[in-house]
Amino acid sequence: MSLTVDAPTGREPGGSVTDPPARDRSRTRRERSRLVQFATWIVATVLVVGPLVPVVWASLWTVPLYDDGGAFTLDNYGDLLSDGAWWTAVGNTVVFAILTTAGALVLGAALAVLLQRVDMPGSRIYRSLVLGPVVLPGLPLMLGWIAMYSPAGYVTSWIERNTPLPIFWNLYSVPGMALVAIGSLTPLMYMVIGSAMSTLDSTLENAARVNGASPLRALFSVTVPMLRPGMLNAGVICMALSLEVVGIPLLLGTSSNIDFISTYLVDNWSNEFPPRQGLVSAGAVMLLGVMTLLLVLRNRFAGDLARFTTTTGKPTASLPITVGRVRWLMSAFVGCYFAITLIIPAIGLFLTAFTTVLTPYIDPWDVATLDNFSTVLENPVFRRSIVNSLLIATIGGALTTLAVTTIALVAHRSSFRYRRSLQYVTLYPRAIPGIVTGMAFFWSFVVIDPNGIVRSSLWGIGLAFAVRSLALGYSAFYPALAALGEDLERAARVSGADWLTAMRTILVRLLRPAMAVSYVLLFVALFADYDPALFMVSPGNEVIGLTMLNLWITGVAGPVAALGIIQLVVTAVVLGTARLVFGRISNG
Amino acid sequence: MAELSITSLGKSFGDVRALDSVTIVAEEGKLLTLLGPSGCGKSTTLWSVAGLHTPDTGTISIGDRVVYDAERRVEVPPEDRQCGVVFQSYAIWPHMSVADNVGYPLKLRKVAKAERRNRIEEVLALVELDHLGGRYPHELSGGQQQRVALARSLAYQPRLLLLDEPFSNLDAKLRERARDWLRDLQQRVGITTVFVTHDQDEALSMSDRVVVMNAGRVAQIGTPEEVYGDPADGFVADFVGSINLVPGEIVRVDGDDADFVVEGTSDPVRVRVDGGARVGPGRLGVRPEAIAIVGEGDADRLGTVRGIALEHRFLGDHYRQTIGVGNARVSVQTPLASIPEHPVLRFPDVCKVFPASTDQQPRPSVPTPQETP
Ligand SMILES: Nc1ncnc2c1ncn2[C@@H]1O[C@H](COP(=O)(O)OP(=O)(O)OP(=O)(O)O)[C@@H](O)[C@H]1O
Ligand SMILES: [Mg+2]
Repeated sequence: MSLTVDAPTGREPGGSVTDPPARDRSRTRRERSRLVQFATWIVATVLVVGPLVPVVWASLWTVPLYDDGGAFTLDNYGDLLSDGAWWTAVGNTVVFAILTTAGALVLGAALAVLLQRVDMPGSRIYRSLVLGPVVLPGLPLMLGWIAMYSPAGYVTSWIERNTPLPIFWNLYSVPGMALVAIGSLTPLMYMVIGSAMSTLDSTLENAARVNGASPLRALFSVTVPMLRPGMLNAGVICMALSLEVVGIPLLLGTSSNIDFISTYLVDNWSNEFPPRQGLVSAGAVMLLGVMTLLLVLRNRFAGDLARFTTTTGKPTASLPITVGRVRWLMSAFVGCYFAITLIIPAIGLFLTAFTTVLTPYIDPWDVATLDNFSTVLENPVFRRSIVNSLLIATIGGALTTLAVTTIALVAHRSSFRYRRSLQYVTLYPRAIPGIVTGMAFFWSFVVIDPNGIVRSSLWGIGLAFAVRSLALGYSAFYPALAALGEDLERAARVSGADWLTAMRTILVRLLRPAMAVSYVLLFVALFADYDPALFMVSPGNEVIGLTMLNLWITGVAGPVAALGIIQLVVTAVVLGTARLVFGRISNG
Repeated sequence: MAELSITSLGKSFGDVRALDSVTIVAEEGKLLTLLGPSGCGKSTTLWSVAGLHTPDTGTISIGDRVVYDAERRVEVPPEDRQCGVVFQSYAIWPHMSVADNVGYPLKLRKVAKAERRNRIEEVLALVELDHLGGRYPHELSGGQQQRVALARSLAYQPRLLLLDEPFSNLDAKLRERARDWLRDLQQRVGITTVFVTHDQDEALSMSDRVVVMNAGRVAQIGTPEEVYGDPADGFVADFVGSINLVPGEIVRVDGDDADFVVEGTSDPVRVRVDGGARVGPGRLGVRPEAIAIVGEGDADRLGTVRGIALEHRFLGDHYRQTIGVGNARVSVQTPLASIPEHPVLRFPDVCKVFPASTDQQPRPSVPTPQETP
């Protein structure tokens, strides 16, 4: 038929169903879509869940997997559970996690209320300052903390020398480590609680005010109680992050012999002879079990994905609460918080990088130098670390973005039979501690790649990092996908596009901005990550974070700080550029 | 173009029975409307035809080609069904210009560039958008977007045109014009069309045939005149147009005539009942425009009853009077506002009696006919 009334041709449209080759073509196309969906599912599942199998196996086997023979055993668990050092480490970790969670929650909630709800001078600046520690790599700032607040640090020494004040803190203790962790996790808590707060219906609070409650009273009698689920969610996240923490105990616990679960595992792996790899695997399995439980718990509190979809609703502007003159006091309080946790450590990092030695006894100007930076650029280990991290971040970030996009499309926009499971697979890495990921990939490569070619190359570490960052990329990507109506791809399907073509020509095109945002976040995360490398590093595949950690522990402060500054600057430049570019896009 | 035939289609979403043994035939080149209240399964039916939903049971064939058969496990994917679909949301791709949107199905069919351009022009001219090919969707008005969606669905000469409430995002005036325009276009192109709507005016004015659906079932299929004038049951009578369903009882049947006693009155009204009647409780279905208010002289004639004028409303071209008859409130359409205080109503020569409230939806004992502005 033809549409024009006067020119009927009677010709069947191109690719008519009556034409057998066309039918074959459509069958091939269908197979193609199904193949892509199935491959995505297999690869994702194998990469996320697969590597955990050898860890469990290693924990139940008498000899390391790279040796021949061996038999099933439970001895590794027996050894672990009867080792006093393990229980000490568990005790330290739990105390640390509780202190950290309590502190970060209280501060995070206070910041959320003060910065988002109270009319306070300077809150705009504070709101952007608080985001810094969330997106920037944490390790350099932590080094700044040590440079300033450790017993021999600049601030500590200065106070001892110039004031009669007592030094009540000691970073080289469990509470001291918790202080550092509170400093680095509070901004994240602020974000989680803050976003829960912004989804609350402010009309309730306004209703209370209309009925005569004072603004503060309305806040505490209506808003704060409604924040309970958000606080619980934030608390579980904080707990999980504190349990798996590696950097802090390595940096601060080593000198005073305070072991955490993570350092206990690392020590028994690399500093014992013969290495107790079975026992370490058993410990890793137990840690993984606890983390999985926490993730399940967390999903109870906040449906992982539902959280993102509700935040896309229209924000009801709530009136800022006016508090009179107290607002200056509050502003000063918040200012002090940022000075202590952010600005002073940043200065510490900066000074360490640009001086030969940092102490209040010598004027920094007398010892100012650029040598630390030239050391970084001349030393092959430092240089390799930078190049490797950049490679992982750029290429790994791109590949991970592609993977996240494909996975999300199969999981949410296909009729593939196991698509639901894909979503859980992608979010599960959130529950896998970094060191366990590292160990998992180590064992996997031992099993499938006995010569260690992949393991010692950058691809091995890159893969482990990428799998670890899947959940992050996915969470950044999913809201944009959820916001796209399904009619868009249905329209493509009925127009004659098979699933793959519809995804490629319609959805992926429309999702490009979301992919770019995902890419930037993944770049930053991959550039800063180091936990999994602990078990996989060998000469040649060093990454920035781990190099900083290892060398700082051996006492090399200046060049490590310089490396930290380089890492910070690269990240900041990438984020700044992205902001500029996306800002321009969204403005017109 | 082709005939569409749907047989015993069934579909459940969990416990919800969205489609229950739906059988429909859409004749070649004609416009068939699916009409029904929200949630009755219209979209589900349409999408099953397009291949966007998989039904549980039944068969669907387009022309002589079976596109779905539950028993023989035939399921043709949507891209091979050659159905042009216009979505309620229009689903125009925002990253493509109007011409690219319309050309997309042609590109997929590997139509050569020059031919494609001609064809795009031709189709855009058909929907009167020939000057807007270079624009992007966000630069179009709602009505223009809707026509782009239509152009896109017609571009590759589909065998069926499926429209899911295409006018629901348009304002009342534009909707009326779009209705005429689409009907005209459909007749010129001569494509078999299935049109989904919950707007009875739309259904009555546009269709060759109307399928009234209720709770996943087909309540009636017929021409607009048939479903309006001869509704199969109380539901159809009530949903299509407005109708008085006067509760009462048939006390005596005499051939085609019956004596009906309106609830709350004592004197029977003699009415002619279409399709036979049985003694017992029932509801007399009469359209407001079919009831006449007659002079006192006619008060004793057959088929009349006296009521009390309760209120009236102005509806533009007529007045809607509410008149109490026994326990019932009867709507009557009159040209003037003023009527006697105790008007005499004459029911039409032929009435329909429906069973007393056997519908799924419980009805208030006093029927309040829905308004047709
Ligand atoms: N994806 C789905 N999951 C669960 N239930 C569904 C789904 N789609 C439709 N339903 C249910 O099936 C029934 C029929 O839905 P359908 O969309 O066909 O209604 P409709 O007649 O098009 O209504 P409307 O006029 O509101 O568009 C409804 O009860 C609806 O809730
Ligand atoms: Mg619908």
